[in-house]
Amino acid sequence: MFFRLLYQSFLRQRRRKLLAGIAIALGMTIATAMIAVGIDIGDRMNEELRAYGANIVVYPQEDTLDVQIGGVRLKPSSAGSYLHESDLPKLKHIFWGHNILGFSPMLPGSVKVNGKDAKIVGTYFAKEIAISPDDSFETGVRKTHTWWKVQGEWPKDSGEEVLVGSRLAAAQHVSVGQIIAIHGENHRISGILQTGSQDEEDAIVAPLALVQRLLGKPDQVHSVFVSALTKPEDEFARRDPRSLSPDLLEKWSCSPYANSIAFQIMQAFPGAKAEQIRKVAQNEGLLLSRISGLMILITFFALVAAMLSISAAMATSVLERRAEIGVMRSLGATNSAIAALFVLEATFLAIAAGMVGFLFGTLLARMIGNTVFGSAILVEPVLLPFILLLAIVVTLAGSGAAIGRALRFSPAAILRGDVA
Amino acid sequence: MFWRLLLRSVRLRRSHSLTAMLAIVVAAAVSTALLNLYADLDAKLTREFRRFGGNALVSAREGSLPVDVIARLKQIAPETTSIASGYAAARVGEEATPIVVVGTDLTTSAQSNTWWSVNGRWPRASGEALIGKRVAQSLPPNTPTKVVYGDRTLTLIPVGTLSTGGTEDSRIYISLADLASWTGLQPNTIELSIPGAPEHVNDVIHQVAVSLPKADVQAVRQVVEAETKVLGKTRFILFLSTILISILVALCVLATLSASVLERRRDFAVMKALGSSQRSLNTVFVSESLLLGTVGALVGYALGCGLSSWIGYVNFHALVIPRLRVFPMVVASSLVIAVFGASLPLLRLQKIEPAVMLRGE
Repeated sequence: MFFRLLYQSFLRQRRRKLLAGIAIALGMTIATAMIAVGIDIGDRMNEELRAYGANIVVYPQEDTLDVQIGGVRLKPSSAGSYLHESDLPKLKHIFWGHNILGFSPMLPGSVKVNGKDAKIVGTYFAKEIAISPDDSFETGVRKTHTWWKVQGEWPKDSGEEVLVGSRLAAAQHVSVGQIIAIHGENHRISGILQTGSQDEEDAIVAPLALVQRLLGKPDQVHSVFVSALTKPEDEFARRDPRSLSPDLLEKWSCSPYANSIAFQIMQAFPGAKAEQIRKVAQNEGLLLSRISGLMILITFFALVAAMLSISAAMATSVLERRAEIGVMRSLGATNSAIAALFVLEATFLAIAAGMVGFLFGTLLARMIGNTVFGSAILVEPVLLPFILLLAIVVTLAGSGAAIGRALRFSPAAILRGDVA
Repeated sequence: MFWRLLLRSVRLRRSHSLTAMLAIVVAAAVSTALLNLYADLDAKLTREFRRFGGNALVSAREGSLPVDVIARLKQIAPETTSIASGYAAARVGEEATPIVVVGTDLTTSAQSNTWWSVNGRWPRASGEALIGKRVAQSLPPNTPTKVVYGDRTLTLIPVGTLSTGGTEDSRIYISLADLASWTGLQPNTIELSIPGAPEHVNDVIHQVAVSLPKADVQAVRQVVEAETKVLGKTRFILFLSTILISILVALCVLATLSASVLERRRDFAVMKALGSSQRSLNTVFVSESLLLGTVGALVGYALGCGLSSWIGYVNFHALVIPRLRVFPMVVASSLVIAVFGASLPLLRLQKIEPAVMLRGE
């Protein structure tokens, strides 16, 4: 009898159920999408912030001081020691190798250009690097220094073409496509480089292999800029790894803090010093925590709004069925039997509508991800039970009060329609 | 008669009116808070971005900048923070290692460059210096250091070690006054931190460039670009959330209001049976709904402003100032929803004979 009532209720009152179901599904759609976006936004913004460039710099331990003013190096750059280019693939082999989005080695020096002294920097543009026999990785300034703009074309890493900084180009009156003599060798200018900093705008930027040959420094690089996805720094991250107990050290190394990634790089490169670029690393964390914090609060709003609309819809649907409750009670149904019927009905409705809502929420999150970040935001399936539970709780809370109120009135009054 | 009906209905059916009102209040509060946050987002986030340091750089093409440059900058953009610096190539230590000594506005640096980690303290008196971490490694600790510029020698007392991970680590920082009296050099670069949205920053940079024809004025592209990206994306997400959530709460209010009108079909039937015209009935029900809508929107707006201020305080450590232009938006949309919430069920009730309704069918 009980199940027949339940079954018939869904069969006969399709329109009413549909309305309540839509309210639940809509609420859960928005809740799902907002939770997914809220969880993901930190990582997404972290990737966007990589536009700030490298957050870790690696240089030789024995390096003498960098003596430069406004990009003009005041010390012959032959002084100092170097890192080996052939060691660079090791960067991807450290524990947090997957978090390393890109790196750019730099080899600065001075050369004669068309008979005048000029600075030159050798680097990777977009170089394919083999990190294991069957895996390669593309890296270079186009990944780590995204704000560099080239008028013309980027040179090939294996080629002989070079970029000329915009200020140097203006001073030397050269433009794209012309040939310049570097140390007597002729090289074509493939593009003019603008970076917003005198360091590179006053220099020639060329493929690393070419600069190594010109300067006579095979396999050498001066410093490496590393762009890594890191976890915002907290109190624990600032601890000195040498002072930690083995357990804590393991926990410390297993969190992708800028500091712990730098520490691992140092272990992988004997004789190298890796440091977080505090300006980038420190502020990034702060900014990310602000944005994620905002999203968490907004997600909370979305949940409140969803609850509100579901409760309203459920309360209305129960109130509309007061006559039904009156009939059941006058026919001798106990309060608990009626309550059980309604609760079960609401639960079924919540589960069905919650599923639909989860599905649409997944699509919505995907759409938001595609529009805003250019890649879909995936909803973890783990979220489904949570969303269903939420739907059930909210639906029951919304209908509970109304059921209780309907049960308090005498059936006769309800049936006469006296209860306004 | 009309007012009496209205007042009695609200007073006697307090719990019903309260439910509908509560829905409106929550909806208005949530929308107000979201709209306030959205309106204030640029200001709040750009403030966070300014922690990444200056977003523009003024540098003299030759020699030093004009003496009144700071005053001129203040005139163009009063709220801009500027840090003037002069650079000297000096020598330090027994081996006469070349080193860059920077004279800078130490007070402003200490306030703006929050990522500068200083072990020790910032220099306060003349002759005190901040030593970059990599320089400090090669100097004997805590002993006065001699730096030589040309034939002039300056004795510095290191009071703090500076660590940034950037070029600052291999420099020595002293005050502008010390640099001027030691080398005679005047500041030749100024780092500007211009507040506001990227478009505004570009305007200011352009104005500065026009007023200082003998200097290079450049945006720090790295900062400006990342800022534009993150700001645009956050703004869009917040906009989307605001729209979605507002639609959801609006639908909820609509449903609650129409349910509360539908519930009163007996009143409706009685009044109609007693001979009131359809028009006066509509007026009564719609005004009642409007009354709820107005009061609900006012209370909701107040609550929402409190809510957004609280969020600003918790998340950004600065209050979100309530925007006045949010007020008409919230009130107007509440009233529109209130009118709809009442008229949709009224249209349905109109078609039913009062007698049928009173019989309860």
